Amino acid sequence: MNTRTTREKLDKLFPSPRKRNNDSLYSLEKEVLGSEASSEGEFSVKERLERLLAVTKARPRTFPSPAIARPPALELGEVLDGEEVSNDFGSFYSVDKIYPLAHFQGRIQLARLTSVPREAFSMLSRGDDVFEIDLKEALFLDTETTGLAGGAGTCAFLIGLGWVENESFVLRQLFMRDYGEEAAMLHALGEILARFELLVSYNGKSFDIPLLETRFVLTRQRLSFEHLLHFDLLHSARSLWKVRIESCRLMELEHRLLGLEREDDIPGHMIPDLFFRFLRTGDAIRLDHVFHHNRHDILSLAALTICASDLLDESHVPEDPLDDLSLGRLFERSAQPERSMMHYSRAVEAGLSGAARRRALAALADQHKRRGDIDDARKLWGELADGESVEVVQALHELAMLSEHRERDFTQALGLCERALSYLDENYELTLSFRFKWRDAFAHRRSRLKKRLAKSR
Amino acid sequence: MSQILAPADRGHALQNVIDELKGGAQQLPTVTALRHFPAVPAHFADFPDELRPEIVEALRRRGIERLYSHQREAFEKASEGNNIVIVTPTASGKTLCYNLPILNRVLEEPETRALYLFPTKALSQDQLAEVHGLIQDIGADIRTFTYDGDTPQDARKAIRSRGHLVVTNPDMLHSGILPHHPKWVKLFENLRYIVIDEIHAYRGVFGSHLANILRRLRRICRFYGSDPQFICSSATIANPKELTEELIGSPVQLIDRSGAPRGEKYFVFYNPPVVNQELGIRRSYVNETRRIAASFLKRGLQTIVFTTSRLNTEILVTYLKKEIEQDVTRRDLIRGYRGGYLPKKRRAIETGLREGSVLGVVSTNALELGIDIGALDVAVISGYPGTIASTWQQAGRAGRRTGTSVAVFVASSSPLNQFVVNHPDYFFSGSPEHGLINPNNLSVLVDHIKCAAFELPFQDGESFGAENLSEILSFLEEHNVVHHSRERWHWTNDSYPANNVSLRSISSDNFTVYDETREPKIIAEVDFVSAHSTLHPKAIYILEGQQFYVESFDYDERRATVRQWETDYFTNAITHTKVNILEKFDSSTVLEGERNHGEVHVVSQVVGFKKIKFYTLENVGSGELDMPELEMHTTSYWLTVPREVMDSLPASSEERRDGVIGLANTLKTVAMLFLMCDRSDIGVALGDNSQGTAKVERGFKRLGPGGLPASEPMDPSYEPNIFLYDSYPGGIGFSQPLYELHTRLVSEAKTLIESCPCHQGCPSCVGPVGEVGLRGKVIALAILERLAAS
Repeated sequence: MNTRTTREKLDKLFPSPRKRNNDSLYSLEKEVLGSEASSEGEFSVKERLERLLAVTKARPRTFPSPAIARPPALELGEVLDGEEVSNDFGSFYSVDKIYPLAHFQGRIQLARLTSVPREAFSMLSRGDDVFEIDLKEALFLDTETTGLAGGAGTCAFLIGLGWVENESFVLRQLFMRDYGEEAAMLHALGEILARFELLVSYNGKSFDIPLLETRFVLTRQRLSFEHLLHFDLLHSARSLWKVRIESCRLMELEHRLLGLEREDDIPGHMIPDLFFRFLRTGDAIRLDHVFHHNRHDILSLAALTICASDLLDESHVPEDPLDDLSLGRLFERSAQPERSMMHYSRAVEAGLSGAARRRALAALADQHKRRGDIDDARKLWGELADGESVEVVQALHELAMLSEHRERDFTQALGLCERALSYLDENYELTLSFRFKWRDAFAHRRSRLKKRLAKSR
Repeated sequence: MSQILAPADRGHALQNVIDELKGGAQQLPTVTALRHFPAVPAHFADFPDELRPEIVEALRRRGIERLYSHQREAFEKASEGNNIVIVTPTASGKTLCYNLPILNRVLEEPETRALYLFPTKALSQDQLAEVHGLIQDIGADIRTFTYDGDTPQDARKAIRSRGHLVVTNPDMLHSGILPHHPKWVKLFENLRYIVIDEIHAYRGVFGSHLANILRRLRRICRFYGSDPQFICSSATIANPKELTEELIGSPVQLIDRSGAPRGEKYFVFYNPPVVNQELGIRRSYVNETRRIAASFLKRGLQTIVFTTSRLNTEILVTYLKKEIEQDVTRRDLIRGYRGGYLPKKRRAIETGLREGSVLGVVSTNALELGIDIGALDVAVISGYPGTIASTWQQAGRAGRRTGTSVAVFVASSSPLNQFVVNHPDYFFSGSPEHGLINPNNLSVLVDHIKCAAFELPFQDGESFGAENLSEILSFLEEHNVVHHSRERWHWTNDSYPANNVSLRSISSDNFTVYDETREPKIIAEVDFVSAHSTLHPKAIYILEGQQFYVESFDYDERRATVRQWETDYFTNAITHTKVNILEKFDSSTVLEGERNHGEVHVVSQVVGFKKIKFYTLENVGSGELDMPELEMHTTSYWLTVPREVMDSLPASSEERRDGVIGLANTLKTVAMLFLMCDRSDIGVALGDNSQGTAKVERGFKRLGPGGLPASEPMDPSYEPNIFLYDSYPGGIGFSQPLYELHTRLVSEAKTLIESCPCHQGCPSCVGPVGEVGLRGKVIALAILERLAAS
């Protein structure tokens, strides 16, 4: 029978990739760096370019010295200021940073964590999730993982935690230096979780928490998050800022709301590879950037939670009228029409323009209509009908209904229908389905009005 | 008439048809077989004592007073903790074989969990409905759910923790359940049973993947402390026990004595008459199917017609509707049924068949498996479904348990069809079909080792499959996929490996086809190997009847650009294949031939193409190509025809070679039958044993004008090797069984050629004259005379 070893068969089945030959960066490396050319997957493209650049800058047109080409390996202790911690499950590495509450994360001071009222978020309550939360009792959490795919093979290798303690903000980072340290790290997490009742995260409900629960099962630990109330800021951020900041990514929010610009930040997709390299080679190069990135995320999470509470505070006037539009919608959905109208009116008065203004006006008109303030509503519809886009059609529809049913002025109603129909015919930027839908509706109304007119003559 | 007959009148009408057929059989050479299977009475057994009273009660309410003997045997063997595989015909009450022991256990220990695997989603739905009904009759709180791609996200969490019986398919298990096992703690901790229905469907590549998925499943079960037993079912094949044992990796007890009754059945083999003797052209089998089906339908007999393609389904529905529905007021007497119809429509057709409001249905193999459509009178099988097992399953759709029924097989002119229709004994006397898999195919194995490492770190000393696991893990570590530390191998990659494994093929390296007729868009994916012969520049690529001209083929980007184009021709690639023998595992002489199997290196290259006119199949042009070579290490069976045999043939060297090509074509046809595989699963190539290697133009020897590679001059010492190799890197387990089956292989090949009525060779036997020359058939037969016992 077959006498080849598994290894021989593997080499035959998966020959070294031929692609290497047409990798132009590689041929450049070969030329410039000689034997120091990177091996497959060793460096990212950016790093490879940086290496090439460093060499060519240092010694233009001469052969590079290997020392420059390959940065020396770094021990963990050289880049991080932490300590080894042991428990019943083994040991792991832990880094503490203490921030005074006077610390500013962008324009927000951490001290405000102690002054946000418990009921600041209560209107975000949904069903059983009642958000009476005290931020000075909260645990802020964010993890760095070996991938975004989820599943049993994705692991959180760094768990960042932040909380208020003794007039300062403690930021503790639990790190496994190897897979063997995971159980001890998770055990330490469990001990901290037990001290809190409230967890604050960014997208933790769908990512970090299910992932950590999976890790608990895999390391056979009886831990859970079930006793914790969980405030996922991402969900609130979407209601509060989506109109203004489309992506709602944490980094985008911190840039726009906190005025922060990250310097030398490590792109998220490179994080798993830096950890894997550390695992394989013990080289801690740029691992400090990962820790820094994680700390930064937690501080911003805390600061943005404060921003959110500000926005929900009735006495606070947002700088951007778009926020009033978002708040109007938020309060409309949570059945607080007074508050909702206040925000919509303020949004209009504060000088919104374009599509946002039209949306605010339409929403406001709708609220007036519901309250029975028909004249106020009519005034707004009138303005919208003279404007542009979908709101023209919707406003004409409202006005036509008023004329037909309330004032029984069929001639005027018919005129409004004709106006709407010609608007629909002439404005190609409206979507086709929108145009079809409304053309049918207005055509139907027009023929009915014609009949009524004929009858009344 | 064309109204559905009352059941009492059907027997009479059927008898008339059968009498006609019997009368006709003597005169018509078109009926090659008419077999009668008398009714078989039921063998009953009492309910086992251990069966819970609430189940017995529920069965009694359904009119079941006793079990069939095989149902009781299954219950007992399963209750003793054995893995079992049940081989019984269609409609023999197979589902109770697994539902009874499982429901009984859940009633006794409510924590018990079971996983049901079905090869298709439609089948899952049907089986779910069935077990639901039984559970309702029992009145127990046993929760049953399907978990597949269609399961809504918000329902998944509840199913994971609360479902007793979870019904799924191999794909979902592979990519949706196993990689997320920590979310299924409750299931895996309490998993007692795994049901695998239609186990014969898992053969070849698909089966090799499933065997590895089950290895992963059992590994995860060990982590949670469970050790489930397997309850499997199979259609009749030659090796159900071996196949099941290979799949689940454990010993299995076989239950193959059915206690279910069977009604009287007639089975007719029909071969459409030859209309052109020279070219061996027969009358269209689709038209013949229409005629035969209509004759049953017009008598008011409920008939199902099985076709081999969606297109033929639609064509036959159109024909039959025209013919049957015109003289009745009611429409929808004739319905079509195939994948692609909406579930609601399918359910309506199934109900219509059961209740008798639908007279006839034309279906693809979608209705072949256990979906409940009641008992029909007639099954017309239009074209051989590929395996004996499938043919019996289709035939079984007519006449469940009692009453007389008829099955008619209408053969097409393909070699497979012609072989079967002319060899009724091959079909009716015991199945020679082998379900074969190779769970240790290295590329399949490595894919699943990655998935397994993702699911749980490997421990030093652990094993997975027959290869050396630590060598594979070290290899993966060199590619930075895993990392070894403290006696464990951890997954260190940010990908989700299950997504990169396609269960239906070995490599998931596909070419995408871009249609740039209008807005560029992707219209298809083609697997790596086929892409070379179907997407080469200037090829006509055909997708759902639409022709596309291939403008460019980008190997590095793995894409081809095409444009819609109406032409009157299609293209056929010319491939050069060269086989090197790397290692001979076994070899022996049988009569005057030599059989071998071993490891080979196959290099093939598409070197040109021919343009062939639709309908007339004239060769209307050709072109040269320089496509990248395809290399593959695989396993192969090969037959050496000794030089003495070759030398003694009364023929020129050119004619001898024609004969060898004809023989190779025939052997491939017969091998496909034995192995239950597709054309693309086995490759065929010729070599020169005196050289160790050789080169031939596979399939196309005589080339049209254009001066493409001419045949190499015959070497006087030529000693042909005919290779039948596994078309998958690493092999998929065909070659050793072919070696063992050598004697039957050559003797069936001989009968196939002998009984073909064509004069000089046709596509139904050795291949068309254009390919094998005027004497190819005669020479092939002459060679076989020396290799096969008469």
